[in-house]
Amino acid sequence: MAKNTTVLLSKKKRPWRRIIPLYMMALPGIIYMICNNYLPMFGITIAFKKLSVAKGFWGSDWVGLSNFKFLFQSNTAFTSIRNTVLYNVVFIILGTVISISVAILLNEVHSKLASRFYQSLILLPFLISWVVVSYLVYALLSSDTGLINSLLKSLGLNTVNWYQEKSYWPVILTICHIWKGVGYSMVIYLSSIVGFSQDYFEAARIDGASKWQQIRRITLPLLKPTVITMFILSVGRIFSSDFGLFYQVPKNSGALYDVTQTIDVYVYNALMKNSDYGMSSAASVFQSVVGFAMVLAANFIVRRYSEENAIF
Amino acid sequence: MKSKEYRLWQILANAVMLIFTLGAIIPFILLIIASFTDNNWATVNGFSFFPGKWSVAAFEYIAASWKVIGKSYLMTILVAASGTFLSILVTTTFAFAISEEILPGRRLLNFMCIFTMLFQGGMVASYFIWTQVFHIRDTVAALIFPGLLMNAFNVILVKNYFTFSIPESLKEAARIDGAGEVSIFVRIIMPLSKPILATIGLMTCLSYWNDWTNGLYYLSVKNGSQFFTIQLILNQINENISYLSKNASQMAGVNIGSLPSTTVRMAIAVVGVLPILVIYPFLQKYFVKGITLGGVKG
Amino acid sequence: MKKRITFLLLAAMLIGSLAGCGNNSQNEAPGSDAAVTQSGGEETQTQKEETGSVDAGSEDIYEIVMIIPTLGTEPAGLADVEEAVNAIVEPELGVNISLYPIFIYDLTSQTNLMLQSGDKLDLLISFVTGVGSYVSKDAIMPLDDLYAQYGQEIEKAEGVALAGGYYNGQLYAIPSEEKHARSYGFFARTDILNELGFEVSKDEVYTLEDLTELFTAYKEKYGEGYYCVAGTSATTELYSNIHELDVLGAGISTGVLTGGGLDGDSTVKNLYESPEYEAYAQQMYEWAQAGFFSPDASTNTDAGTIQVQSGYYLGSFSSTETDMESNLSRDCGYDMTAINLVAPYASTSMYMVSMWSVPTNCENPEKVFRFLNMLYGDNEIANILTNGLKDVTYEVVEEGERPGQMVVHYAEGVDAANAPYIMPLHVFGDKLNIAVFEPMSLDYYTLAEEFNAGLPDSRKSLSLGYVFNSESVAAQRSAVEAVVQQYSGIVATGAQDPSSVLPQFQKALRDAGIEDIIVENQTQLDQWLSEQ
Repeated sequence: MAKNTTVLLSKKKRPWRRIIPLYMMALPGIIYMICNNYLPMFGITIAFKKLSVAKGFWGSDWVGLSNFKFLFQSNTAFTSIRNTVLYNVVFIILGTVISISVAILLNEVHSKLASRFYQSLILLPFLISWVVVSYLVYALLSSDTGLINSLLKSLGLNTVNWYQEKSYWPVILTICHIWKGVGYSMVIYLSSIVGFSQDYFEAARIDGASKWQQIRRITLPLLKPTVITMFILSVGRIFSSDFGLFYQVPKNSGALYDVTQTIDVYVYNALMKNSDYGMSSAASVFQSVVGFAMVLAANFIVRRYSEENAIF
Repeated sequence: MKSKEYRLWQILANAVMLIFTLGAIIPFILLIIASFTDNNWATVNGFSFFPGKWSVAAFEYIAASWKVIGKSYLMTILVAASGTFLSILVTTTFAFAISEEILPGRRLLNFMCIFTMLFQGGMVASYFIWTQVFHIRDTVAALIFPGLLMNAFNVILVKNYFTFSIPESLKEAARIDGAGEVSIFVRIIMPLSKPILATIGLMTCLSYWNDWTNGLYYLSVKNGSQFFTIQLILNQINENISYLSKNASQMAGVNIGSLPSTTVRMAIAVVGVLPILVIYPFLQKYFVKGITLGGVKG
Repeated sequence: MKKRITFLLLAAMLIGSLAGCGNNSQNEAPGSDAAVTQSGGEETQTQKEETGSVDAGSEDIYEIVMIIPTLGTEPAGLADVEEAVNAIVEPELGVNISLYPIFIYDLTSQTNLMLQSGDKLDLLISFVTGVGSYVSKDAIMPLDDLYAQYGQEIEKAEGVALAGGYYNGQLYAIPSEEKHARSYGFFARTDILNELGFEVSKDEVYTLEDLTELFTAYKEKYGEGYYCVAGTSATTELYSNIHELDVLGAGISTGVLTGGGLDGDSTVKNLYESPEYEAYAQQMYEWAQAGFFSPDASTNTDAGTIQVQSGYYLGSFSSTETDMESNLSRDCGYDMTAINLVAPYASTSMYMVSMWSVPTNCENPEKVFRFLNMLYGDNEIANILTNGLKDVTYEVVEEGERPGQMVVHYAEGVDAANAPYIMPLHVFGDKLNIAVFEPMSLDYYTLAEEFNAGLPDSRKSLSLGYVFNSESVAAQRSAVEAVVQQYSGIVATGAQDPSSVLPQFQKALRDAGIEDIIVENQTQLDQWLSEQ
């Protein structure tokens, strides 16, 4: 493992010769974070205010938690929260397993040409926007003219009115999510794998280990830091969802809402006629607070077991 | 023994990759075919691999608007290239700094960085800051700076790479030779970081390429339209049409037929994807297999 | 050598980081008071201002920034249009107009952003949404006094339609609405009607049974793959095309008068629990079973006109007054005939389609309002803003009585896609002052005026001028809205059996708090009525 061995320094004298250039290097990043993220941070207070144009941001009245009410107003709201979490759990687990597997297998492909070919093309779905994907899915699933129903008809089976039957959609949406994301998320694992020192594999080969053993004993453990990092970060987004996926692909079909409406779609639908910044801000504050708590919790757990992998 | 196992794995790997690749290509082929389908036929019969009627009307439309679409193409490329370059610069320097354990305040910086991923001020506040404080409206900067230039996710990836994949011994050796931190960064770290640079370079480039929200908020139709990117244009066409369809009852004065049809939107989507497809294979050589650590013992 | 590189690199990074944040030499305004009007927004807009005629900074000429909703491409001829309008208004009022186009789908959200951030804005338009959410943010100012003093042309042009601009008892917006009433029905292709042997008269009001007869005949003749009703979607609501309905200036989900306010009944009801709605749901389901709707009707995203154009659809539901027939015929590519289901009547929400308001932070509301008043006057301004310039965008075929009234067609080499300036969303001034495109004729103007004049008082809702203020039940309204989004399309296209889906719908609405909204609405309505 290429772990850093800390150079022990005497506490009395800090090596400013090294520290100052480091700060200079960090400066652009710090400035950008301030400008882009911390200056607008006051926006969080909007969730607790009733915005008035005349009074401006700072003069508007505080209204406590009333902007958050609509998120818990009805069963629909709770269903959307449930949907968000469940989908994310499935996406995280399935997505990670599939991405890693694909990355490993791609790395094993001997022919460089084939490898580049696969890698380029598998990224393709990521480049297509969800609106266009929704048209493609519609071409497959349309009740009247869809390819799948035509296939079913020609086989003499009953057709399915896909956009009215909600039971299929968790699977459909999961497939869409994986399909669109695998080319992109596997890149992260691939770049890690490619960076592993070949010495370990050499040694293992000499010792007579099979490929499967090499993967289990070398590749996967070496990937652990990356996987853990990705996991903690994904957990932070467990109350958020990909709006395009959940709004565009089901074509906003009401019959499917029970299984396709996530928090972001719910907020969008609720605030369409009445664009209230206070309420939309409340929704994102809610998502952020929960996400933050989850990240802290996940980080804490990870820290207990392998300290160096915790992200803070 | 070994070669049989080797072949098995080759077959397995290639088979799985082929399946995924086909799964990726086939819908894309459908997309291309859709853009060559006659729109009236498609309205009734939906999109299929074997359209009843072919038509190049969609691409004629694009050719006719080539001035607008071509310009937005160039703009997108320019923004993606410069944005990616600046982003890599800012991200790697920052990540390097916080990966060095001797930096005081390092954990604070780390936390500050991650915190930005979890809490955002929101769109209204960002809009206010960028337009009223920094006045970037209707400039190219509006497409490059807000939101995309450095994000915590990339920083973490790079920092982890620097920490776990670059041996301290190399840096030590250089320091003993008298090299300063910047020199170490440029001469040792960067050359060894090609995989991670390619990774975040790709991700950043894609996020710039696909982004249309910056253009939507910060570019006005009147003064900023020369900076419109291709995704923004595609998005606007889609949104306009969907808005009209939804409010058709109030809009009868408008000739919806004059707006681009579905097949045109498909064609624009195809056109928007092409450059990435062309560039990506060239980036791949940086995912080089095996980095030899010659020159340093142990 | 090493040191030089290091130094250069550091310098580059420093410069880069400075350029990154403060890339303007302009002083950074203290981020505090967003209500300050003369902020950065004005600089970016006025700097690019053209119309070299007057120095925009001079004391006498006031610059009016006016939002215009646009579709598709940015108008190349914008500067010329501004010049032409300024040539008229500047000598009279001492103002310069600066047009600020915004894409229609983004209109509300961009306007809100501009308002909240303190950009200079003098005239904003609310399209279909009503002014409720602007008023609740203190974003626009009441116009009663200005109207009393300067609103003569507006009064002449709008008349009763002004009722749409009232909210909380004050006038907040000036509508631009030439139709004093609407009638509703179904448009069917004329050639098919003739083929099937149906005679339709414009003056008669038909029933759903008549339509069912027509649809059955159509389906018998054409069969599989042909459908009757186009233009449906996930959020379609067809009820108002079939019965009178007064939505009290808000929406169906916030409580309605089921008699349209015409029968003296002022009980605010939850439409979704009414027997009329259940009958409608049942009817739509029967129609879907009979194949009058496509099985994909509730997930359709194509415009109805495009579907009819394809030749596989009979027609669509729509409002049917004055120019609707020729508009739809033009868009569908087939001659369409209106089958009226609801006779013309007037309710407040009909006047709320396009309304102009003045933001609270406007510096010179008096001049702005006087300009607005001019827009409704007997001059060319409304026409220029809607149709562009004569001989540039269009050519005159025949002129009418007032300036602006004429029949035109596109100029040589110009069409809807490449016109230098054309605003197909007719939202400016007195719409009876703007040109009509061939094949419409000058008769249109007389027809429209007769239509307005011929509306009897018995067809005017008792709630004209009342708009529901939903602020106190905002959370319930949002939750209810989400439920309506989910179910209304299903019911309208008969996609599922109402005996199972309607009770679910009704229950979800109750859970979301629709009854609180109804009660609030009734209270406000009763109070308003007592004050009349």
